[in-house]
Amino acid sequence: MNAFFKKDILVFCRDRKQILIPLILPIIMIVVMGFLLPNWMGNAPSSIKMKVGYVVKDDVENGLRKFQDSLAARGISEEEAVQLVGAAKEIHPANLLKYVFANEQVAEMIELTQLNEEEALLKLKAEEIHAIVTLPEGFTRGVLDKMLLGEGEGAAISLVAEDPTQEVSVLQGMIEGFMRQLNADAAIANAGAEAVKQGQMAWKPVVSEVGGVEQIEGINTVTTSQYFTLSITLIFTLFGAAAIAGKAVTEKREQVFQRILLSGSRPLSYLTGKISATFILAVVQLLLVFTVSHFALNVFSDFSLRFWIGFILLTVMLCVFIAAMSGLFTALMLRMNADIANGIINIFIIALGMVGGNFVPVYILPDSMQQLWGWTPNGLWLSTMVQWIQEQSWTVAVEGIMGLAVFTAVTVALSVWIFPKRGRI
Amino acid sequence: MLETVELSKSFKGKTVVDNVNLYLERGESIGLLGPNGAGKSTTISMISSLLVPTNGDVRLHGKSIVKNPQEIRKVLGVVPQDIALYEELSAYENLVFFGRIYSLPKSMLEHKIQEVLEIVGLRDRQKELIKTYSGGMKRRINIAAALLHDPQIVIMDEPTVGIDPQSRNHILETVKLLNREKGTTVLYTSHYMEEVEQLCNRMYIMDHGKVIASGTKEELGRILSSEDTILLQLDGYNEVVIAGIRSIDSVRHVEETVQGLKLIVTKQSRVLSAIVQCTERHGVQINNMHVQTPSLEDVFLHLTGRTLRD
Repeated sequence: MNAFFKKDILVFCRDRKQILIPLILPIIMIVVMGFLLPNWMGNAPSSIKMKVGYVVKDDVENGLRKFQDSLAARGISEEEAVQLVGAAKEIHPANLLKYVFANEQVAEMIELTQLNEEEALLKLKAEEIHAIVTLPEGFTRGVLDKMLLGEGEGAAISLVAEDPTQEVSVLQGMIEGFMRQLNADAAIANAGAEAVKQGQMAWKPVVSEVGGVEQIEGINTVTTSQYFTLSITLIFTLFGAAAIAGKAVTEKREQVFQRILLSGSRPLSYLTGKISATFILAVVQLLLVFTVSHFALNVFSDFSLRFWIGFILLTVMLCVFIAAMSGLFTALMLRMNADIANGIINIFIIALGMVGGNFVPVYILPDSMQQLWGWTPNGLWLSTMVQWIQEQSWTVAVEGIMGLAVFTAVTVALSVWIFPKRGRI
Repeated sequence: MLETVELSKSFKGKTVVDNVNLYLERGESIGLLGPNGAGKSTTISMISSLLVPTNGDVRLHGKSIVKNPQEIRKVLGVVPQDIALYEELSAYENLVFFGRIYSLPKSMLEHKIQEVLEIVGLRDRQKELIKTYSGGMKRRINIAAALLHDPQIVIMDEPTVGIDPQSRNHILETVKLLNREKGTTVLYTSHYMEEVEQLCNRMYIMDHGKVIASGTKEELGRILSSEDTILLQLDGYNEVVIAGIRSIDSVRHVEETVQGLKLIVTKQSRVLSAIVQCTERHGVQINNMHVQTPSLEDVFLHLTGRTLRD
């Protein structure tokens, strides 16, 4: 097997065209796509439509009243208390969020329906709504305490969704934007309080974050560059696998394969050599593209070590699968007429790329195609990577790796089955 | 040593090799002749165990190799018609690869590579990529790759097609060296009768999937012992003239060649005058007429109705 592996690596590396296309072209395409397309997760395209359940557990009036009462308990003078209560009424955090959703452009995308919690969960399960935004109990009081007095933990808006879809990411972005605005307001309010304090107040408010988004499916947004770096590189590794398998056609046509058979080598050693060489070349290809993307194009900046460990594991698993695909392509090339096999393989890769979201983000495809996403190996890897970027959940990563392992096992079994037996060359 | 017994192969109902019986004794050099499509390559593929016969058997030392191909693969070296080498690798890298898949031990591999390179005369060019070689050099490395494991039998499928005279001579000398000095058994197919005449002890002539004649050069020559070959050079001729000559009783075959018309005729005294009368009748002048003993090429023409390069 070692001889086959070395031979395949040498043959591939000596072919400059073969080596430059899968290594350089993806990088060029990633740069071009990054410039041409909007940040599809960050900037909501107008085509997005989503239904959101709005659950308010917070009692606003009660929150204001408790805030007012707490001022007296803190021994704040009446004059200061009047100022703070006035500011609190003006801020009215719950209303601020409503204003965000009432905005004409936002309303075009997001249909907000106020529901109770139970009702909202039922509708989410029935897929009648895409997400639930919840203002938790004590939200107003928590925000006001943190904003105006610098006390407590603040408050968090809860966002729950079944799937980390593009729509949910857009909604998440909006809520995060809202929270950032609230934080900025808090800073301004505290700066005012500082001025008050310098004259009359005995306590110093702390400028800090009011809160965040508490429970979100899809914590980080996936940028266009990230998505296309993954999807384009994946499709090029598949074409790379086909290119390595394509060498088998030359071997068959020029009777090198026959010479190999006559040597008494086990035909499966030949297949294993192709698979191993493809694995190494896929690793090199992905390593190079991701390294350039990270360091030169800043595609994967600000991620933790944990993220990179998962990223590498998933990428290695992808390389294993790509290597298995090269085995399947090789078997097809040897078994069938080379031109027909080539056509079938290219159509197959393009179809996989379409359904698997390699050419366009799967979210803009029809629902029926979206459902097939996770059932294609490339779609499975891509969706796992998207979720890994968003959530970094080991459960998701392991599920993805297991899924790809199954695809790999099936592909290898198919390759061995299709690989021509003696007398069939 | 090696024999085929009623060997047949059909593809999609079409028989391309039909009941072929041939044998090779140890140390013999056997020629397999036939025009394109005669079934030579299919026969070779079955002998070398790459194709499973539809009927019949291939036996090595009396044992069938159809069910146990490993037996023949150990002792067989095949030089395919195509250049079965990796163009992107050097001659040396190719030989390392083929040596390793033949499981040659590392200690022996380097020695064997240099030995076969010496045989084919390309030791000083071994580090160059195959794609930079001339056609003849490629064919020589193609032979070298088949010799790495010291095969007892070497099958050469038209090893001199499309190469320069120097490389051709080198290859012919290599075959002689292998057969006469190293005692390797050779099965040689070619379109060039003179190569087979020069190299082989015996030959088989195939056409339409069948062996139509076999024997030594002398034995085959006797097929046409009652015939002569006449080379006729005319100052011009057409189909009517050819038809006229063909209609003469003693004329067995007429073939247009670059030298003129080649006639195979039954030995008898009146044939020359009949030819002269025929040409006069058609108003054609004879520039030259040469009578000779039939060659193997003529035997082939007589048996198949075609020349070897048809």
